[in-house]
Amino acid sequence: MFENVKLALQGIWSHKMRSLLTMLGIIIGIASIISIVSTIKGTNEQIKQNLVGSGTNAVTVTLYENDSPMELAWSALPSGVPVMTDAVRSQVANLDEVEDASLFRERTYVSELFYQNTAFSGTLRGVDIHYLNVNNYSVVVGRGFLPADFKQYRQVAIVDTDAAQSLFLKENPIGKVLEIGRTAYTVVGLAEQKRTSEPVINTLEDYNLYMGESGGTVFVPVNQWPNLYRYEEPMSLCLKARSTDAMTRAGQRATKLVNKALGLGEKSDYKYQSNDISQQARKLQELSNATNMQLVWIASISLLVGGIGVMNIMLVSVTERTREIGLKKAIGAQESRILFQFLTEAAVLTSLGGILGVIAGIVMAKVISRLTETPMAVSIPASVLAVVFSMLIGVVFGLLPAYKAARMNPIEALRRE
Amino acid sequence: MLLNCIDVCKDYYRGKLSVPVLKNVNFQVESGEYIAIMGPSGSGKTTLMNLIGCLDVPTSGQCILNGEDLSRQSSRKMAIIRNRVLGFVFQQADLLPGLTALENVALPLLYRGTGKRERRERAAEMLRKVGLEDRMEFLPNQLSGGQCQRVAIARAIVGAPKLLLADEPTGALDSKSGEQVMRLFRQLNGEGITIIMITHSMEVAREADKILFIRDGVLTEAGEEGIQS
Repeated sequence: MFENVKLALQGIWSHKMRSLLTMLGIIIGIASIISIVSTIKGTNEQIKQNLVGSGTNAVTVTLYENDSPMELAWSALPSGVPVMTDAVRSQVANLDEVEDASLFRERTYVSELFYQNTAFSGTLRGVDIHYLNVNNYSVVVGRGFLPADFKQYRQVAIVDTDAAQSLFLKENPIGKVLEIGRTAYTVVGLAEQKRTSEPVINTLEDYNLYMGESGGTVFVPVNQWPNLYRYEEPMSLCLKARSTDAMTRAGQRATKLVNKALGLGEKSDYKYQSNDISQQARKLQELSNATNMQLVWIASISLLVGGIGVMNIMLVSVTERTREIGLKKAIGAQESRILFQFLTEAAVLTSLGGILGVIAGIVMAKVISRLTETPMAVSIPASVLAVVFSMLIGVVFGLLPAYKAARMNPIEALRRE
Repeated sequence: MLLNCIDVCKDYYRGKLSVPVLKNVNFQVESGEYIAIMGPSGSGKTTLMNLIGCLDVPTSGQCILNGEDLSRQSSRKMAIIRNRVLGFVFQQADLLPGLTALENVALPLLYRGTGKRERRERAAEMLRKVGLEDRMEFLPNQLSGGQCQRVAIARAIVGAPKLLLADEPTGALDSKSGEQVMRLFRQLNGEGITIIMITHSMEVAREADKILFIRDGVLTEAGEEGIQS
């Protein structure tokens, strides 16, 4: 075996130009596949990175009417849907996959929030005492919500950094009075959402997914909601999963639990559904995978062409080495040995092509990544698979020439000068 | 008796036409003999050697080598016989260009499944025997034609064959190298190896103990006068 590989390498080396040209088909095929796979992997890692970077592992469970989310700003109160209580929240918080859970209500693109003459058009959220923690907010200036804020129905608000920027510019937000729906709220804290890394935004989808709340958010205690909007408005739930991987499962279990607790059965028009960033990200990943897999298939065609090239040159090689085959047979080489020798040669040739292809593919992906500013990541399993696959191509396309060599009549072979 | 050919016929087919190449050849070889077979081109001497060499099968008749009937063996068995019972020397040395002299000599042992160490030892011994102990690690293109042929002889005898078949072993050599090869054959024969040599040179054939003459597929034992006629 080892001898065969050594001989094959010698053969390849002694016909450098020919070997290179023969391998070229394989090199190009493998290189394109590897560069595509690296780009896919890069994109996916980027999405994952953005997710983990957003750091919250937050999953929201909100009320849906049939299959679309209830937009409570525009729709009437759904009938027969009880308001979620803190008891349900603590049940969710006790699930294995869940670290903590909180309740909230929200309005996006609010039009009734002002600071002096400045209107605010971000998000207004009525939140419980757990919310800031669940969503990885930390209070930078002032204080967070206190139990007393809820007990005494205090008209206090906390702003996040974006909201502070748009409302107060560079001024200190603490003590400023906001007007929300004709009621005055005093700002007691400035909160900032922690991210372990900033998401990389390449497309509009990325922006919507990761930076959707950049208009800023103002938080008030959730029991202020009847003051601002109406009584009995359904509550949403936001939970923090223990890990990014557990997000989907946590969402599913929480949804089941909430729907059961609120008596929203299969037949009900209203149901809670979970919605987490990882699901959306996965959809993005699937989309990019699907398009890129087609590219991989197209690139595979060049591998087929490369394989045929290898077969062609192996047939030439067998003819050229007729005398050698004859001699080997004369001194007692079995057919299987000759077969194996030529198969090894083809496999070594294509494996070498595969290795060069992987290297070329990685270089190509790096160059593409530089030029188009898209991410890339080298996939070790894909690289190993590519080399193994090119070896397989050698075996498959080397089979016919090797068989021809093995079955060669020694007399005919020896007659050749 | 090492080799017994009984009524051996060999026909070749050119299209539907059958061309007889060997016609009822009968001959016997005892262990330790040194035989030369002579004949003009196309007389069938190479065909005869192919049959004895287990590379081909007769159309009719029997070739019994070392007690085994060569006319009905699987290709696998034929390869084993070639490897264990026979040694070949051709007009060209036919060394593998990528292998050293030592590796070339060791090749038949590789096919036999001998371990690496023993292969090297045996091959080195054979190279010493043919006087090339200082050329063991040389590649064929670093050796002269005569040296290559001696490597080929070492390769032929490394497996301790019962019968050495040589097809024009000096045909491609200058006279000095040719003499060297013939001396080597004489020495090997002295050590008990049976040799059948094909040649069309009278001078070379005289080295053998017995000369057989083949013409138009018919084998005759010829005395001096038969050859000269």
